[in-house]
Amino acid sequence: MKDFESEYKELQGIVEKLEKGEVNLDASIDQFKKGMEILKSLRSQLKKVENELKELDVKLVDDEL
Amino acid sequence: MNNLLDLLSDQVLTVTSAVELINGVLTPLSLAIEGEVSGFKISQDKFVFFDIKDEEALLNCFMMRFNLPFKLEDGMKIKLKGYPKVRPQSGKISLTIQSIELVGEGALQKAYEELKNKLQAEGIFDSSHKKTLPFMPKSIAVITSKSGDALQDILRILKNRSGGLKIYLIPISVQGQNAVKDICTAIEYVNKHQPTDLIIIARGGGSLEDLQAFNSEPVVRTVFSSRIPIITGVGHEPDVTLIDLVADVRAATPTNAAEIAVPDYDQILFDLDQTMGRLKFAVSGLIKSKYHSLDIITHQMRQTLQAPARGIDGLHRRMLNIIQNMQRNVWEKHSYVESSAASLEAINPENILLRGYSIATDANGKIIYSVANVNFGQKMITKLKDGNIESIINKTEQR
Repeated sequence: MKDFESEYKELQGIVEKLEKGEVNLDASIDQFKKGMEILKSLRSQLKKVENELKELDVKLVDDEL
Repeated sequence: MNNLLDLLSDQVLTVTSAVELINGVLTPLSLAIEGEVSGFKISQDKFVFFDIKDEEALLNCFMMRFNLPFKLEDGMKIKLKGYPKVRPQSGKISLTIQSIELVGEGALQKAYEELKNKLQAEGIFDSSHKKTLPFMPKSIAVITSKSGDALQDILRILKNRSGGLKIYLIPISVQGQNAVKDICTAIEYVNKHQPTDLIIIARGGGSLEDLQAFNSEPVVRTVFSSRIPIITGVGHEPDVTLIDLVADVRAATPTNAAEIAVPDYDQILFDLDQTMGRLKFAVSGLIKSKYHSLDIITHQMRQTLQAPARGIDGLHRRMLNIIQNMQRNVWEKHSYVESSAASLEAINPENILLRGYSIATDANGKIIYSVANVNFGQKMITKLKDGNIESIINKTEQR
């Protein structure tokens, strides 16, 4: 899975391209579909589930001289 | 002890085993001592020798150079921790130093300035070394005191802004004899064994003496060599420690460090809603303009084809059919855009709640669809955009 940031950037790119009207009608529908898929994936990553807290026991071993 | 002494008094030992025996007694003694430095020297670039003294006595001290947290000079007031040991080669007792700190604001300020200038000259604080923070980290290591307010502040902000994060707390002492080693070990541990997307190092405000560990050379160098980006939130706004200068991002406070670490999920959801609006609007606009140009063509054709003889009537009809098909095709695309945007909106229950609606469920979380589903005295949960209300039903009315 791509990370959030690159998907977010891809979505912004699609929107800008469509707003400039640089794509033909069929291609724009494809881009629209793609944009909607990305939106769905991004939203699913923003679920407000509880954070998980774990305490690590880092053994601090004295340096032997 | 007495038994041991009795036993030993009759025993003849070699010198080596006598020294071993004495060291067996001496080395477990970890002593904290305050005094003045004298006779400081570095040998072979590796070993540090000096004496710690007061008006009446002195003790030889020994440590490895890489453990020396700042530049020592004769006359400096220091506090150290170490254990005594007989050196077999010389027969002299010296302290093996485990940790060392400066005493007194003046000395600290001087050491701070010197170290800062030295590290600055090396380019350690240069912005070219700063790593970029991840946009949305999934895991964060928090290196701070377990008991301080800093930790609670950070956890609260992370909870409010994000969700599903893996947070690893590495408790350390933020001041005192162990602080430098704790901080370095924690950073190295995370890099090696628990590589998170991001590290936050934090502590509340304090005096220059309290913040000493965060101004020490080993800590600065360990932060510098971390592969994982580090945000520091040490002290409060006016305190600038050397760890702040070397960190990839310096936050004013622990709270601020957490705010920088994660984006606000609610804000992003809002942005995504806006983006969806733009997407829909852009495509609808494109479709509408195509439709409009088809309209114009139809109109022009009607005018062109109206006058001529009946022979071209068939052609006229066929052309109109083609245009009508194209129009239908365009409108189908348009309604696809509308409905898919609508369905995406519909799958996000948060949106409904944001608009002021609420969802009623029973105690088990089952949605209540009808007044027939509930009984007098039953518990009901009402879910709103920012929380839940628990209530008891005392009346139902069928509509």
